[in-house]
Amino acid sequence: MDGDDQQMRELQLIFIEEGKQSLADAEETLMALETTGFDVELVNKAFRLAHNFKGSARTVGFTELGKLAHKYEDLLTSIKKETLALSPKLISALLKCNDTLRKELLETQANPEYIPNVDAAIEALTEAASGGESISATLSAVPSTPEPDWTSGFGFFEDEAQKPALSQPTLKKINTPKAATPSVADETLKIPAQRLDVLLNIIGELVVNQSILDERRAKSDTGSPMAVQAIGYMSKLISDIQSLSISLRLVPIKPLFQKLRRTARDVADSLGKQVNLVEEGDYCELDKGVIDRMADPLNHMIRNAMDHGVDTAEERQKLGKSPVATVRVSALTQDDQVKITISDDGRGLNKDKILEKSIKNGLIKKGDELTDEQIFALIFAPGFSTKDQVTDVSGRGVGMEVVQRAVEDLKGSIRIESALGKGTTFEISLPLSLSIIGGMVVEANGQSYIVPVSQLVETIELNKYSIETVTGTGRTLNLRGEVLPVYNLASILHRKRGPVLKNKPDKDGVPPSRPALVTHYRGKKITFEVDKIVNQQKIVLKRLGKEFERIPGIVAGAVLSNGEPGLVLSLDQLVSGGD
Amino acid sequence: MTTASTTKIDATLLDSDVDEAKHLVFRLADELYATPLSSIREITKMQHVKPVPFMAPCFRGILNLRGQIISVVDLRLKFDMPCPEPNSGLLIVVDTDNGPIATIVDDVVSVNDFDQDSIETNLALKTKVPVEFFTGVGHLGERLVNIIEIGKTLSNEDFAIVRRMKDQAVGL
Repeated sequence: MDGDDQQMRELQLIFIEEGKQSLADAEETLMALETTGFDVELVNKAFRLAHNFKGSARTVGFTELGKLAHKYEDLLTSIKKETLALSPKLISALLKCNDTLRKELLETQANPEYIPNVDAAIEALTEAASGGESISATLSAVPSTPEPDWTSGFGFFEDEAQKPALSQPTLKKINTPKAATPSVADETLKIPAQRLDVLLNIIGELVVNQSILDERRAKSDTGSPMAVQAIGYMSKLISDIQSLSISLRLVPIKPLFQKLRRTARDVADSLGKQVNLVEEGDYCELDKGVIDRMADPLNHMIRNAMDHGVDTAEERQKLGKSPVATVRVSALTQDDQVKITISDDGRGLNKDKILEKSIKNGLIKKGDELTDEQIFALIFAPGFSTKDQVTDVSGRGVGMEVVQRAVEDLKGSIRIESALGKGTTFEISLPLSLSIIGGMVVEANGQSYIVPVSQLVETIELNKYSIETVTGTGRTLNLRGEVLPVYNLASILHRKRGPVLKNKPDKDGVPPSRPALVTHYRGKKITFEVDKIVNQQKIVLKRLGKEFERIPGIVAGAVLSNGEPGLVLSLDQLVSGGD
Repeated sequence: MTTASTTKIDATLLDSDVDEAKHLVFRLADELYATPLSSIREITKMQHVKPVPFMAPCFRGILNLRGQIISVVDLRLKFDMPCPEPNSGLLIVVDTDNGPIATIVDDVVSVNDFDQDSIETNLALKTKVPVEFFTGVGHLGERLVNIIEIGKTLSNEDFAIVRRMKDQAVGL
């Protein structure tokens, strides 16, 4: 590739990013059209988006994409002129065309030499426009016809790119959706210019204060009030930069919600269920990494809610519920956490069925006593599915385990509430940022460890409670009527039996403090006795070496405020042993 | 793009040109070891190493190296050698396939050339180093030097000694 090609590739990448946005906007518009019916404004908007997409695609040499966009635009023109009636079928066809464009766009992003194939999609659109009956059948066959039109590939790759593109592996790639995932290096982020301006302003201030300090140092006058003031101001500026730099990676959750809406629509359509999808808090912002990682799991959960959760209109009427089901997706920012909730007013989880299935699959033994939340947690076990028949909608070999794994990878947690006949609620808590967390620094066996504040319910003083030792169960305490098991952090981490600190009074008769952390574990609360609670700090998470990968409970490294390295613990993983 | 990849290739060529024969010679107890210099990131004096639970004894812990958390392995313990004091020795930071790992050695002796031809490989030796990472024996004056691939030795090791703690945690 010479310089021109490189420049063109850069332009292409810009187009791909913009194109993704236009497609998302177009999708939103089409779905709005579906609910409102014909609306000139909306049709115009979709038309403009398609038109711009077509133009830009051609400019950067994506002739094939341009061709499809052209057809798409044609259809919208006909709708606009009202020579073609807007039908749900037509909207479905346009949405599918939108999907094809997005898929091809992602392929071109992942592989510069990829040549999009849009013939089938164009044919399908033509058929939809002529009112053909077999629209959906034709469209679903789109990805499986890799018969590329080599002669019209994008011009500037012709000499060098065609040969490798013709070879078998590349053709295979066309059928693998995974290949479309862009690598991290290609990842781009849209940042509001205003945030960058603020950042530049703060850095400017920092420079001013630095020169004040430099001048004082030159005069050997670093203790002067002016210098002290500058230092104080600088530390405020630095903490501003810190929070601002985290916000640079935050992106709104809205596009993800939009994707979920689309999934819900498609699934409801294919199952013939009537569902009203309610979105709340789509203005919430999350780290881009979190959003990317959660997109598929959330999509899966929506499918699940539509397929397994939502009952049919007849079932609903029998129970005296409104025939239209409601699925609610909401996001809520709370401190440094984001809570994503997916709830439905459908069937609810059937505990008996879950238990039966789990016993059959050997996940639990007959006679095991489990709390409701423990039973619900079983649906996260690998290969679990309560639906008697695997359906095309959600039975694609990815279970709820995928959801749990993603949530755990992101250091989040998930809770289920469900009532038979009334519905199910999944509540996912995720850290706002992947890099900085609130941490409680505690000591165990003379070593300091960090526990994310997000995992803590409260801290208590064990001396104020009576601790019972029950043979076989270990130590327990009664916290406001709730019986909680008491673990000792030092014992678990350093395999020393028994509490490290004895409850012996000092010489003044005051017993030494025995602090403990209360945390959630599989729907219950548990306590962790620690030697000492040091303080609460903002913790910058650091990646640990691969050596730590298989050690449950140790999730990250960190540098403490005294410069010492520290380990960030996940208390529930410590207890579960990474099960 | 083109320029970037060309530079990369050039750098690799350059690296292998310079470093192939150059080895860092270090001492563990009274034995000499050498490893290709290309895998060494830096040598630093001993600093505070924080112990870590659930790891084999030779895994001394972690340290904060200019903001990066790096695992520390004591080669003396790994090779079953006497280790007088936990905080004695030098730290060699090695690039492994799994990222950087710091190793504790007693002393760094020198940097020497060991050509492939001068390394004796056909030895019926019983060594503490797994045979696949043991390149051979080289000569340094009067002394013999064990030549090892330190990066590979470290990245293939599984240091975790506890993986499931369920049984242990219940009933404490």
